[in-house]
Amino acid sequence: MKNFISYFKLFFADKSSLLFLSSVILGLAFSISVIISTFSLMEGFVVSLESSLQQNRGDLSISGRRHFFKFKDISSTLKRLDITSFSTVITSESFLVGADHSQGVLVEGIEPKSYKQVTKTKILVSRDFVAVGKELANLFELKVGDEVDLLFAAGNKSLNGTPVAYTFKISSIIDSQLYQQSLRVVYVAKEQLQELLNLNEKINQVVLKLPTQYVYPSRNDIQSFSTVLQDELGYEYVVRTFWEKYSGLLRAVKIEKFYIVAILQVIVVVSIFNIMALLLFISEKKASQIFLLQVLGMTKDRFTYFWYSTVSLFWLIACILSLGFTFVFSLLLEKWDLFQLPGSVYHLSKLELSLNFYEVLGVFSVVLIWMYIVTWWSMKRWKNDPLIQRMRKEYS
Amino acid sequence: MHIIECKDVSKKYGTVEVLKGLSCNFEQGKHYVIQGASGSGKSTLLYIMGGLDSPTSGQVLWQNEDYSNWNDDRMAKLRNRDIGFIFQFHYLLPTMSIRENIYLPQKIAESGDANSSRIMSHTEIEAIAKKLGIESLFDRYPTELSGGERQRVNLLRAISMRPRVLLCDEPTGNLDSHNSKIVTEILHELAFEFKATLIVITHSEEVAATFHQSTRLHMKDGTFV
Repeated sequence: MKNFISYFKLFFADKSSLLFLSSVILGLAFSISVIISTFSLMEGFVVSLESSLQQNRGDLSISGRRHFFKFKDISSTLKRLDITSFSTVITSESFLVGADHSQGVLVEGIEPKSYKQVTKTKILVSRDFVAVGKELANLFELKVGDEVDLLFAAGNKSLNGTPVAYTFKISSIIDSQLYQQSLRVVYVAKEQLQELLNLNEKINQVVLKLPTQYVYPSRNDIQSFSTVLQDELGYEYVVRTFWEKYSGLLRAVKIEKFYIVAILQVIVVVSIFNIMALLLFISEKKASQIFLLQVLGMTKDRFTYFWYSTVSLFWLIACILSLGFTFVFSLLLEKWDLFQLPGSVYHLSKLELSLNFYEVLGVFSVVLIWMYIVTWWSMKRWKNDPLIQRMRKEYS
Repeated sequence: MHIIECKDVSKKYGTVEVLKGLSCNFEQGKHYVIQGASGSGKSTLLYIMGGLDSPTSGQVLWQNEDYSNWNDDRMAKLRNRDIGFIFQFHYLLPTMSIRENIYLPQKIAESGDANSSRIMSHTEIEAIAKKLGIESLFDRYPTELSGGERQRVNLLRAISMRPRVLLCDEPTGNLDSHNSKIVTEILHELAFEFKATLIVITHSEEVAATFHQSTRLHMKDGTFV
């Protein structure tokens, strides 16, 4: 170690070498950080979207193929499959009327207690009280305690086609992460919605969690269970996984991630060229020192070992710095509104980085391989030069 | 006993033949001065004998063993333990203190299987440093030293492993007459003390004359005359 420090000082202690080295390491760290941040953003998008979808819909949802159905028609199947965590829901369309404008909304009739069990989302609704999404509240400038009118088309037979308007008070504002959900959804108490729509005990959706033996169900678990449940329920019902609605998008993001990371390797290659330039610069600038060490008995193997150790140290520093840069970027994403996403395009209102250990390790490893390749090339170049010819060139 | 022997050694750089089938031998503990004009091939011969360059043809023997087939590891060990180099330009490492420069060959040897009995102790090094008048310079850096002082440091470093052969390439070429005299005398004295083979190359008749107990060889156009 002491020898390593002495040799390291020999090559990098002067100002120009140190400056060159620092810029090269910073450049490399920044390049690595760009790659990590990019794929972590994409991974973050996938993770956030999936988690938001799961938060809104549990693991699976059951819809009636002919729209409304009675829960008792499927309850025995759920019981048979040990599904204990479920919530019945009515989803309908309505019109929210504000002071200046109105908008079509999705009204979800829920049972707050069971809904929370399935989705982990606490929604405070009761008779004549509704909860609205955060984006919708922003759009209509609504706050808790305000009154809103909802117009329903259903249940209007007795009123000769005229929409029926009901006034509700806002009990809470929900941040569901999913932009479209947040912009369109209004939660009401299920019983009241059933009354308003004259549905009696009918519902049109059941959201559920997998049986308790699946503590942390994977996507494969959910997919397999979905197939089993679909088979049990038969043609009259449609079972959907929580990601199914966005499966195309999620798949596209994963494919994009692979290609973008592959293309971004170009940035690393540019930094690697800088490392090659540094190695050549040092080997030219410090030629007399390198060869003096050899004259005094340092073997080429030991020098090679020192050089690879040095490059590995640069790599380690660059990796640590890159994680630092990524952390700063993550903070900026979190704190700055500048990074607010156009939700209509990205479905999510805000992104966060999701660092996948193996993917980060993969990027670091590829960078190290690149570095070893250029080191090998640089070493090969001077290894083939006879010692004394270099020495003579240096002092001629 | 021949410590180094050259047999029909030739060296070409491109089309230029620097050494032309040269043969010579050097005995353990004896002193030699190889004299010749610039371009006569004397430095090339010295570097080939020291394993810093290889001949185009011919053999160089170290104690009757041809080292043209030695691997880098073995050659490095030879340079570290058995050969001391003194160049015209002192070649001290600028980022290391004088102490670190002097102990550098020992540091390099530490990682190998050096025979510790041949490595000079700190006391011995300090005693020689005193003789050389550089004992107070150990904590300084090469840039803080005069040319003569640097060359004396170089000399101490070269003998710190008690080499069997001292190869000196114009050791006083860059020094004034005062420092030149000091270095020459000490070089002689230490070589005798350690029973080392001393091979000095120089273009100067005046310098050659100062090594009065040496065998003098003359080179011209890549061969001995």
